[in-house]
Amino acid sequence: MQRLVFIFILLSALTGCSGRQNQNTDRIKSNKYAHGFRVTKNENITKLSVFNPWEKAENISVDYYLHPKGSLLPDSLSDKKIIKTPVKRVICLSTTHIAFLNELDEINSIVGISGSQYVSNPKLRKRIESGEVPDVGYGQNLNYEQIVSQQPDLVMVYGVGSEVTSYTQKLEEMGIPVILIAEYLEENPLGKAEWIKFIGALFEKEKKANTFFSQVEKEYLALKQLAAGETNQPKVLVGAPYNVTWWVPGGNSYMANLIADAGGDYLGKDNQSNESFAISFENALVWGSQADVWINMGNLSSKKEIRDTDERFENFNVFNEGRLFNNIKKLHPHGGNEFWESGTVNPHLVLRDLIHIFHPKLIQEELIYYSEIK
Amino acid sequence: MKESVPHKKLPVPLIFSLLGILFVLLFVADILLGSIIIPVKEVFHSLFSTSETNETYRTIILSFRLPKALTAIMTGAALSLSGLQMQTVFRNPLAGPYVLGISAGASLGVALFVLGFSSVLAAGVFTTGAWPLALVAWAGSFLVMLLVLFVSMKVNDIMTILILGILFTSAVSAIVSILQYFSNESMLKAFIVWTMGSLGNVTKAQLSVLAPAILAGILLAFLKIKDLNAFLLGENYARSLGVSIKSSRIIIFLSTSLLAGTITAFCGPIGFIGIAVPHICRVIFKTANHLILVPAVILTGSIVMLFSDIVSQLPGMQTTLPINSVTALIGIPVIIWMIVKNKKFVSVS
Amino acid sequence: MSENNFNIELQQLSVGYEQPGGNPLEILKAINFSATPGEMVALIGSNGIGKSTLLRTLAGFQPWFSGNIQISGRNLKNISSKEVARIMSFVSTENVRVPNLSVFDLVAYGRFPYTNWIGMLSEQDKSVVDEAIKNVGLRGFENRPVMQISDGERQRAMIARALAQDTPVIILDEPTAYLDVSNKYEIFHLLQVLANEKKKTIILSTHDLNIALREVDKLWIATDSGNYQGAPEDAVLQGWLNQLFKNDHVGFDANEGEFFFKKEFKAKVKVEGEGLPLTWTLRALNRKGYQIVMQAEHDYRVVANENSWELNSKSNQKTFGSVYQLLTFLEKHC
Repeated sequence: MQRLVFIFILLSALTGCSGRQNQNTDRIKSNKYAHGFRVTKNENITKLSVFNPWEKAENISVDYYLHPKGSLLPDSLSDKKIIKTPVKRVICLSTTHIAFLNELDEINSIVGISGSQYVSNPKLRKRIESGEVPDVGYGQNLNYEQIVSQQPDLVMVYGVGSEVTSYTQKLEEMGIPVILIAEYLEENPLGKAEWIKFIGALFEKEKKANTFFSQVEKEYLALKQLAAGETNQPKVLVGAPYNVTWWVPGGNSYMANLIADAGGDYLGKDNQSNESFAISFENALVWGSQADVWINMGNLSSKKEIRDTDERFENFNVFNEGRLFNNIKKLHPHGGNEFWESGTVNPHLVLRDLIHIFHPKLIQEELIYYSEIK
Repeated sequence: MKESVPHKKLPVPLIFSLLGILFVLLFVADILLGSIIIPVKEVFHSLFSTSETNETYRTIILSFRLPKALTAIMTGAALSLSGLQMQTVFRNPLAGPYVLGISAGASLGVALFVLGFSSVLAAGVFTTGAWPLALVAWAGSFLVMLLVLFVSMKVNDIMTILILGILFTSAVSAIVSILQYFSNESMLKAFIVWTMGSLGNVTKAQLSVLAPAILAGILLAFLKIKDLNAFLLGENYARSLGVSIKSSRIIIFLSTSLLAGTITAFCGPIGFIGIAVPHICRVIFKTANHLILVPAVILTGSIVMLFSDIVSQLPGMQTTLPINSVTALIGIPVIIWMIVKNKKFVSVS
Repeated sequence: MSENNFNIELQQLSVGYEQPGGNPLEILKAINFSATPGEMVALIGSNGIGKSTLLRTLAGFQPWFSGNIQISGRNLKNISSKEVARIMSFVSTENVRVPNLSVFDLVAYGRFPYTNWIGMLSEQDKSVVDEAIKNVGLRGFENRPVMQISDGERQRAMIARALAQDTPVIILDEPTAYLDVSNKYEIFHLLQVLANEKKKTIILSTHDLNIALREVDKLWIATDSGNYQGAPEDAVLQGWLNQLFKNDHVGFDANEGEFFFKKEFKAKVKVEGEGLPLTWTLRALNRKGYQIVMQAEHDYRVVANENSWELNSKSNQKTFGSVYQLLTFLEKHC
């Protein structure tokens, strides 16, 4: 059936579909903070649902049913996507997944990874270097043979766009269970971390996951409360140009929300989107003259490097008189940055760093992920 | 065209036999070799016996290497055949399967899709599964083909059509560049990886669509063998011999679009094979007769693609190379050697 | 293939090229030409007048703008190209260069309208091809690659291809252009045999007027001031040939049946002698611009003998051993 209706797609392309609703209202609310997944239990059957797991997806939901190993498969599940639990051998196609597994003590379950050079977790790095954990490639160039020979119980994938389904289908055709993890699409920092509940279910470690998350939540909210008390909010500039384009986080994005929770005034907050958007250099200049703090300037680690990139940065007020911080303290020489690994699962630590930057008097502890740029 | 008594060239049946043997050898090798080292005995067990055998090996052989090898054969055959047709119709030795803008059309479809504009193409029910990517690529190349067919019905001069095809390609590439410019890093990388081509992603279900499309394209080409021969003399002489130029062109373009468009839809744009293999065949067979060249490029194209696939798998190693790089690295030295050694045989006219 | 009652009639035909934005560029207008089976017709006219355009239109390659082309009463527009291929074959001035193509293969293209869907040649097809190759004098060249023979040989091969197509009408655009003199005559002779014996209609364009005048049945003449058709002798007697040349330096000598350069006469010469010496001495003096006179007052008198020439002027007499020496002397002293 699908094969016959390419004409339909053709017509759609020609007429052009309009009407992209405001994505915020479209999202299905589940859990406390995360909207991308839901865990439901029904008569001893646990169902994991993933919603709109790639950018610009609409009305997509995928259900996975957990089936404890050793028990009989109920008839009702015979044609559904099954994942046998507890998962003992897993392949991760994103380094962020590693952080979740780390908190669940499941680093040793990882039997394959994509982008092995970016891994920060020392235990995993050792296993990679010993050859125990191979790199399985990326995207269209996944090394299927490698994946199959590792005999995984599960492959955790993430999709940038719907093309991800082309290789998830190939994997499923080869009899390998695949699950989409979309924590990176959550714009709420706690929502991102909340995915540990989703992943925990796969390893039959729900309790551990819940306990961990409650603790994170408690500390995060406490810090947020602390920062909310400060009335003087510094203006914050985020980002640096990538080639010629200057990408900045959307007003409703993960970074923007962190900044707001940390008591900062993000200069791009008026933008409603939760995705990054591009601004012109002039626009950046205006913000640069207003900002008190400048954070997240890519890989630049000193003022000299910043000047070398583009000498016009000297015209940024914040460059001369403001404070500069970059999240590269835990950036490893091989390219992996723990900000995106453990930082994802421990948003309270990132929040604490930001509060330290915006309101230094409030925080005693040292910065974990951020370094001051001089 | 009668095949003249050969002098200074090997008999055609002998060459075909040798190529046939090479084909079988490479096909077997492509299944035996891969990232994971599988003992030969296991390979045959997986293929032929139904008894208990290592499940991992069986999955790799049956669900990965076998479909991939079949895809390689069809890719090599389809691209080489469409390249041959384009070189003859345009009387240009540099023409290839993508000269009409087919690959550019497919890229545009995929770019719109991957680079985040899929709402333009949205039809919710079709955005999951492996089909959307192939469908948008095919739709893109299909649109370009319609454009080309429309133009070729109005325009007489074949050079004009060639130039228009090149312009379509440039225009579409420009649009794709703009899309790339406005997308973020991960989308960009996903798109770029698509452009590197891959044979291993085709599912068995997709194969069952790929195969008939390619066969249809090959069949159309066979029907046009006589006309292709006539085109070698130029369109005026072809017309004076009774060839209906416009309808011939339409069928040939349709065949090319089926062949090249379908491959691009499922495997991404794979370059160089389409241009190089027809020249290789002209030199090996020393003929201009399409009755020999059409089956020749099908066979030789498959051989070259199987070989490229084996190389790109880097047998025994963890990483693999993108297929496009391999076809270029293999093809370019071959074609240079051919040109230097056999100057007069490479040009089409 | 052997139906030989193909009359060709061009009625009030005007041919040319389409132009963007409307009006076509008409190159030749109001042409009324005809040809019947068994006729060999030469189309002559100065360069650029539109001979190729006319022939290509007749062969069905280009559309025409007004008037009619009828083949045995049927409008050419209504005949499918497949059918036309069995009625007319065409030899153009295009240089065909295809690598790996042998002469046999090239000539075998002529059998295209008759072979099956793959193009396999039957025994009869092969013998037609052999015959055509023999007729153009290329026997022995069958296996030579087309790219390796001379332009003249290639042109003959293309003509052989048209012969192999075995059509009642053969149209050729300057078929003798690249050929040496002997081959020119051979081809003309061959075409004439085809017209006379096989009753084919042959239409060719040529600049070899001298041969055409002697060999063809009919001339189609295209000039700026009008189009004429008739026997070569009609063309001469009616003075049409003079209209071919726009400048005053060339004229057609009806007596000699040749074109000549009109010149300012340098001196008047009376020539005596007989046979070949006389004829060729006259030509030499004519070439150099001396007016030949018989009765009138002359400046010189030349006696042409077997191997010596006497030059008598008012003041002296000299003897020379060759035409060249005679002429050289006259040049110096005239």
